[in-house]
Amino acid sequence: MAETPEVLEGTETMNGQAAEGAWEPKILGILCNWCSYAGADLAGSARLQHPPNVRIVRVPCSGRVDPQFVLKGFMRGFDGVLVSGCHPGDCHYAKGNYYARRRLTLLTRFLETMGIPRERFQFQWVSASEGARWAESVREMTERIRKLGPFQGVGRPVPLLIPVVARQSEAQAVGVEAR
Amino acid sequence: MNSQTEQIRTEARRLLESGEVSVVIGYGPGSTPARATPVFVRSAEDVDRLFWSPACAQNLALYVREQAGRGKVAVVAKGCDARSIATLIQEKQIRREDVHIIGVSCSGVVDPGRLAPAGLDEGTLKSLAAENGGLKADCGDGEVPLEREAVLKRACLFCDTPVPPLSDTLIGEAPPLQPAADQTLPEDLDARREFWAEQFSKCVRCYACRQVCPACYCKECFTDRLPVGWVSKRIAGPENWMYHTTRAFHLAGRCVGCGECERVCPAGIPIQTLMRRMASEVDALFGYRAGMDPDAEPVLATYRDDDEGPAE
Repeated sequence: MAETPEVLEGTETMNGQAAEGAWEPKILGILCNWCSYAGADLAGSARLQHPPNVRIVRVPCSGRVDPQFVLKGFMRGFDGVLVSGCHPGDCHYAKGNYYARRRLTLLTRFLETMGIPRERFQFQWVSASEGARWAESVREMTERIRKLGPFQGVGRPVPLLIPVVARQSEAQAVGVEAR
Repeated sequence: MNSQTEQIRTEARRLLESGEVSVVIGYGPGSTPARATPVFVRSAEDVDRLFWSPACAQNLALYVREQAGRGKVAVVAKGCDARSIATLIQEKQIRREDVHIIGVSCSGVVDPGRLAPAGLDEGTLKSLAAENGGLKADCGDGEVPLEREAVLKRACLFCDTPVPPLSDTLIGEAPPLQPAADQTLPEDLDARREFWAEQFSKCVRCYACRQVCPACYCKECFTDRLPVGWVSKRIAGPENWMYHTTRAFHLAGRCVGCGECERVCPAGIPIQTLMRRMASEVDALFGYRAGMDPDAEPVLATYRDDDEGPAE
């Protein structure tokens, strides 16, 4: 069994939730400004209901989504990551989503190499007029992650080879001020 | 002296005497027969410093890039090294006309770090030579054959390009060898996560893998841009994971699998198991292998209308 993932700065709430009892999936959403973000906005304007589990980050284009964003999401303990952009052919910048498609399709497979099931990462197209599609995808993904359970984290803590205390005393011995 | 050494010296002499290149970057004997050292030969009188043996492990493409803009250079390159050079040409780090590739067919190079675990005393080693795809060593009591699996640089066991796909002079013929299949990674996803967690927990973040990599040429690495905060200096499980996965992605479709990262790793992390996986995914998705064609577009810097992707 994996050790408990370390609590990192800024992740207390998600671990806190688990401690309080009912675990809720926490999903990172990275949405392009021109289509999916507007689509999510439309879902709101149209009063379409969907679970509140997706935390949205707005980016100019899905082509802006560095796979590192997704990796960082998992490193910080998100249970799932959702990237959404304009349909192919509809990119505001003409071809940003085509580059994103290559990278993120590769990322989906790479995550499996790292032992992260592809169900935890969703990459999709939602246009500005598809509020209902957005709401549906959030419902679907939240349910899927709920079934999978909490993400177990990515690494185990590394024991410090040299205790900090020892290093401080060494520093004092040679007259270096410890900062 | 083996015939490759002879041919490398002849070619180096020709290139330097004619003034075609200002320097020949190659291998010279190292501190033991299992080690080679990179040498820079600038005059025809010095070509005897060059040699070839199964100890020539380094990927010299690293130095070719450092010489960029200083006129034409010649370099001794194995299959993997030549692919690295092709990648650098594709990425416009060097110009094709600025490099003369002395390609050498290679049946695998020795990782000195694996000699002791294989029961060989490097200190008593008198000679090391390749023969018909096999290896033989002399530790003072006559030549004995060595087991490739035990002493080669690990990446060499999985090598599928023993003959440089790009070269101006080609020395030697394809060895009669078949690449092995890497079985290191567990099939089960949870086991994989655990496997990498354990491997990366050994990482001391010395960045040797980055320094030795010909494809890691960013002037400022993301690991050094600490204020940006993608990864901190802290040596901890998640940070190490972040470093290795990001590095793997930065090398996606660019890593040629020379395995230098793995050879220099003081912690013995199977970095190439990760990179080989990445390379095979890139091949499966886009039909692309890094460094096989110096004229090809880098795979993630282009796209096709019919690429695989989410349903519309």
